[in-house]
Amino acid sequence: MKYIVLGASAAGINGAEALRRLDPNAEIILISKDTEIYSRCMLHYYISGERSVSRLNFKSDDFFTKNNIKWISGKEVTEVNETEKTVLLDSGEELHFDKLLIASGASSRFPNIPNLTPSPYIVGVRTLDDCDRIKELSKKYKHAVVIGGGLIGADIITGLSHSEADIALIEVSSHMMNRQLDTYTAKNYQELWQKKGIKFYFDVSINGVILDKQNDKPEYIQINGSEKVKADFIVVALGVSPNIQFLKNSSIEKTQFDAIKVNHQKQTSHPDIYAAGDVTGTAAIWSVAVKEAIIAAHSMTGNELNMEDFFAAKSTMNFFGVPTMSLGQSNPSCNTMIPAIQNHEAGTYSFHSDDQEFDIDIQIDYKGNYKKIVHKNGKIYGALLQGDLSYSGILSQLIKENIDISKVKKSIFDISYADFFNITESLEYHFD
Amino acid sequence: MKRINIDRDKCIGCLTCVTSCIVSHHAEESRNRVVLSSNRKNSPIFCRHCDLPECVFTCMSGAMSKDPKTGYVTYNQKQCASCYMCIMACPYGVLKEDDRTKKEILKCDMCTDHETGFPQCVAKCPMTAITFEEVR
Repeated sequence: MKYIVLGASAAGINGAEALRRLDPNAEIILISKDTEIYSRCMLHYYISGERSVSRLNFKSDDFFTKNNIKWISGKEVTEVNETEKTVLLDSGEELHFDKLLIASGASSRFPNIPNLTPSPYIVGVRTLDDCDRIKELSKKYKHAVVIGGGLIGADIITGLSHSEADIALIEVSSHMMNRQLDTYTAKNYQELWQKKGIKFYFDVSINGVILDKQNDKPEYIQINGSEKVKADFIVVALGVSPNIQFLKNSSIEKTQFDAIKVNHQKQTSHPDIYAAGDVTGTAAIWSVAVKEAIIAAHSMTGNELNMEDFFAAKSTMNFFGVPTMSLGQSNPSCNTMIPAIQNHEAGTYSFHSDDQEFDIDIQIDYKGNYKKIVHKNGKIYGALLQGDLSYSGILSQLIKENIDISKVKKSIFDISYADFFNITESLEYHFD
Repeated sequence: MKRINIDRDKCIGCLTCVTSCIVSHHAEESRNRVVLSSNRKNSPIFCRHCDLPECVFTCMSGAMSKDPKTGYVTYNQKQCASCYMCIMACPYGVLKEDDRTKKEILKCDMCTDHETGFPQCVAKCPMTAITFEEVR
């Protein structure tokens, strides 16, 4: 059996590793444009200089030899011929496969904003090359603008805050990480960034990038009609789109979002071609990519593995040593203003969302740790914790599995696995 | 592989396991805990070293990995990027960050580095509420 895996990030590497484990004698080839194995989730540590390339590696240095996987790096796949079952490389080489795993990931998305197109001064953040470019630009130029205040934008301003550049962030919503955070938790971070000199522009409409006509270098970004934000270079952090350029002549089915369509077993419309990770257009989350790849590897080797967990509205973050976790509907619309909360006063507070649909409980302890739980009728729908995340994994399980907590007779902030304790024959835990 | 079995009926909540964990790792905090359930049962919450470990699947730095030989889920602090995804991913709420630096994840290692190579929580439990057993 000959497997080819495309891509060397979360899905590709973990998929290849799982294939080796499940089929010890197969021939496995991994092809990637990347010439290093690195965790894209740690790129901001590379920008800040806190980690070298080798410390971005999420597998051991001997990964390929240990797993007896042939790695063709620095080459791009230009075409997949599903009838002949071959992949064509940019070097002209053509390789045959019995089964193919496409884990080619995604690229930074550049939305339709006048002059906001990739250039030596306008970059996304997806690869080591992008980061090298950002590092170079931040040494050479003074005014950096990051567009997009999501998790990636937040990572980038943190990484860049170590540089000499003046940094501005432009975001269309009212605060940082609008999808994950409420105003309380966002403000805590924003104040820390502001102390590092980062300037924020919220609730902004972006009109376009004004370029220096001589050399195509940006001069400023025009926002809100007439306002100008000085920009020598621009980092675009507005989400990703799947890397499927090499499938343009292929009959492999795509979704309406131009991602590869897969079934539960991660099989594409072609029975010998599978796909996993960002290229399938599911949530761009590390664990989702890893699990999809492991499921695909099982299917490809004639095994079956069901891991239905693709609850994606979840994230953790850590800026300046302040941890935060956001789960599910962590910020239902709520105009109730409780001055004590705004003043960070310790206590517990209960109120409702504007539509009265959810009960919201907030606890602030004497150290300032913030815990918010959104629930209704004995079920938890969202949670937002900042400062102390101890033992909070239980909350993701309760939300994901829609577990009834009405039998728990203690404060909602103190629920633990003790309340659902059950041990299986193989001595694993299982929710009772 | 081996796992630590838990018999809640025998546990008296003396926390000797918690203390032995701290001592075994020369640490400031323990990697295990005993929690009272709402029906007042002492419930030791110890890492299961799961067959399908969520903390490993979610780890983007490579710090968490499943050792194919022992079956243990190991944690490499040097590789850890303190992103806390593992804390969020553990369905049983076993993991936490350390209180002082908030950089390290407190994760059971089955005392593989202890001179006895034997889990000290089990060794010191006066009630045999926790025992070290071979599974499958």
